[in-house]
Amino acid sequence: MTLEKTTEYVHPLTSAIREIVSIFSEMGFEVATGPELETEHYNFDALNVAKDHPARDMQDTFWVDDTHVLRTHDTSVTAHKLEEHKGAMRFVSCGKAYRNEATDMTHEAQFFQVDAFAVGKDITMAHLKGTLETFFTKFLGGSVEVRFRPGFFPFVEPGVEVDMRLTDENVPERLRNKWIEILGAGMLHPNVLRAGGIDPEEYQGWAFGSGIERLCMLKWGIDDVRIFHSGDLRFIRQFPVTK
Amino acid sequence: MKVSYEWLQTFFEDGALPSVERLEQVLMFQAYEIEGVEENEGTSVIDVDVLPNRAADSLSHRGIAREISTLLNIPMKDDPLRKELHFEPTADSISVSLMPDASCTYYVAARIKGVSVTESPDWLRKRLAALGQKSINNVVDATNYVLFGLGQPTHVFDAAKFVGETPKIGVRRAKQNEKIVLLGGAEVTLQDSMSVITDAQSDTSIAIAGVKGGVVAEVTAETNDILIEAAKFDPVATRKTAQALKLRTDASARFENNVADALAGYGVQAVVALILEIAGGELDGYVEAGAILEKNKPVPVTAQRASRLLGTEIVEGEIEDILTRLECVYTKEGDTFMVTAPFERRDITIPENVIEELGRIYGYNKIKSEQLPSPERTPAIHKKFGYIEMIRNTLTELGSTEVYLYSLRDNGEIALRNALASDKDHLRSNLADGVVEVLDKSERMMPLLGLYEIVSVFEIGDVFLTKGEETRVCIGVRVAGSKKREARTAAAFVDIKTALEEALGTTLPDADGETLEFSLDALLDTLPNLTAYPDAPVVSDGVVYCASSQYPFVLRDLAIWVPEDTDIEQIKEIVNRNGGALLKRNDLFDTFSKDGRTSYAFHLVFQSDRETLTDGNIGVIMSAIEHEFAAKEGWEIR
Repeated sequence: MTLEKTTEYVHPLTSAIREIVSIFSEMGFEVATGPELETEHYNFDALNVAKDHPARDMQDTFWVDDTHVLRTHDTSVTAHKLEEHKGAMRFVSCGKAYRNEATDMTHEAQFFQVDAFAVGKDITMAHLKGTLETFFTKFLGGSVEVRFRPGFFPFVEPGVEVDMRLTDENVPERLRNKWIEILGAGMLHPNVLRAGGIDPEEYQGWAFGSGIERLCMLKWGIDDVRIFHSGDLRFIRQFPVTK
Repeated sequence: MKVSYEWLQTFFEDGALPSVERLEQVLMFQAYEIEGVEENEGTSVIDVDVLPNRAADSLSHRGIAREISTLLNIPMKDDPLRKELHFEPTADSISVSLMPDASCTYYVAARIKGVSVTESPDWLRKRLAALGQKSINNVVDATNYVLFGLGQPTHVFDAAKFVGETPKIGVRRAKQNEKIVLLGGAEVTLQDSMSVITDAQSDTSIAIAGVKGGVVAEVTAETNDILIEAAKFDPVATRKTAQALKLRTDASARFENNVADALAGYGVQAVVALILEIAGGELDGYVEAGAILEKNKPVPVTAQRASRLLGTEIVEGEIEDILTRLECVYTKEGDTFMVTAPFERRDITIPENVIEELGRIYGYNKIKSEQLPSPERTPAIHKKFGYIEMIRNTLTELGSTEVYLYSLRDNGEIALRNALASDKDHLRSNLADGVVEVLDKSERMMPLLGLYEIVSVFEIGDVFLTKGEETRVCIGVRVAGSKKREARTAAAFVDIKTALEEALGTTLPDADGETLEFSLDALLDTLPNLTAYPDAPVVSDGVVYCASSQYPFVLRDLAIWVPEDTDIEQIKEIVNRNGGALLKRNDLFDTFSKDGRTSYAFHLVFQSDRETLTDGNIGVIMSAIEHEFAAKEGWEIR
């Protein structure tokens, strides 16, 4: 072998994506992907972000021309999937998103997002709560409590901010018994279902989205979001794999 | 929005309002986000972050009081927005004309003669000070008081500064490059998409509609005849104007959130009442222009639909109670409630809006979590994700390290219209450029990584070409030292290619120098579907990240002869103990035996987390190690 044999390492983003995909696959979710250079339609219109919504303004979104943007959220994949599959479905997607904002320890111009959604005739907010509990328990370990607070995102109604708290004794001290604001979620807005050609009287569903770097930062105590995309091997090679 | 507890109390009977702590909790879990609470001017001030859909009704003390009344089911003593409005007397001494292409659809003006512009009374100064607002004079403070009290921005002009005895107020589009000097003295240049308030008889601009007043008709200590403006300005036009001029004001923030048309009338009457009280004068009368266009319509909702969406049973009695507390008007048609929200709520237009209200007021905490039912579709295997995993595993097993790099670079086929920086104004057209940069950086720190011969990284990510976006794989290899670089690099790529081709069952292009880049999308079409995802190893349990030292490292090699039966752990123990915290790595790189003796050679990597190490620092450690070695029977430093 001409490459030097050392311990195998896995990038924390890859590890997190693998865990997310595995946890959601067990709950019947299918993996989805979509383009990063997206049309205004799938990034905004189909997600009920009105033409005059402030999020469309130049300072938040990278524009390439009049109709194409670097997707500002992985939720654009949800818009594609709703349209492709119509009826009942469950998808999880992990992909890169972009925001035109200054970078610092907690903000990056590019980041990974996980978006998951479930649509069916009787998929409720209670299922959202249950799914998130399962996800956090498996991803971060220990017993988890999830709570909802009112939140606003154009593509969901009702919309909620989700906090979670880990309570086990073996949970690292920095996380134990602390409520942490972790993601945004809600019931898919009828306009979003309609944009996908789905009758909101017949079908309903929930969706959530969260930054994967943020999940990694919580899990491994990483303090600077910028290190994920730096290509710094001193960082990546601190994460050996279990085989 | 800063909310004073003392001011909130004025909307309720004495003692009815619970503690600040309780309010904070209730508001946070059922209505808004709470940024914090501070003490100011002898009262608690809650910093409430109102969600965008509630900004029309909640950016005021009255709005927050109304919400508290709903959530805690305590009646408001006196809700200023539930009074009947009468614009009497009508003033003949003012006129208002709205141009149809301007951003204003409804305008109420009032005129008061004989005011005395002086300092505000203490109670008013104090209330504004609690919110961090500076007192200006009694007339201007009255408008600010109504802005923070009711949420309606208003403006006062000096009537004497208008041309003629009967001031004519106009609202029209600005002229392209028209200039206006604002209150405070700054001059701004307007565009013809913006709207202005004018003294219509001279066509002079006296304010930027919905954003900020000008100096031309400014109220001063000498003013005694005033015009009060309360209007509805278009939310989108106001936002675009404020943004283009970088002039986001308390007024524009409210107009851009689409405050109700009818609020203008309540605003002007509140300002008039307060000015008459604290600045004296006599009301000449009111004049209205335009019309109230928006009115909330009945929205249908059923208990069955609400329960089905929320995942918890909400009975009709509960719904009736919540709707009453919200001051929604409703009728029942069979199972369906026809719900009309109070005029100031602009966010209740579809059934799901009502259901959100029911959910949060009933309490999201009452929703019991449930697991999803079995899926109706069997999840298909995502071919691309599966092959990406396969490639990752193959390369990782070979010793290559995965990186994720930036898509924004200084060159590429597609440019950004609005870049963050000139070195990030294009979308990348290849992965290799980024990978080579990582190799350059990594080569300099190889010993720190425990690598001495060769370093390899790979990225799997999207590139952006004029023909479209595609996912690519790029592997980079850098060999250390100058000896046979090309041959060693080529040999490494033979191994990499062979392993990948074997895993994928296809042929790949050759490496180009230090990188091998290929399109996964193009390859994917030729590959068979997968029936399962490959193994997906994850980070070991218990890993905790440590930030890397910013100081340079020092590499020293150490070789020693020891008797053949010596335990290597004995050597390592001496090295590690003397190296202490500065010894970052101790990598064995050579072993051989001869004539009953074994030679061990180690790379020792030293680095401090606090300083740049000197030869002196390292020399002390190396001498200590060598000293201990020399004391051992049959040990000899090479």
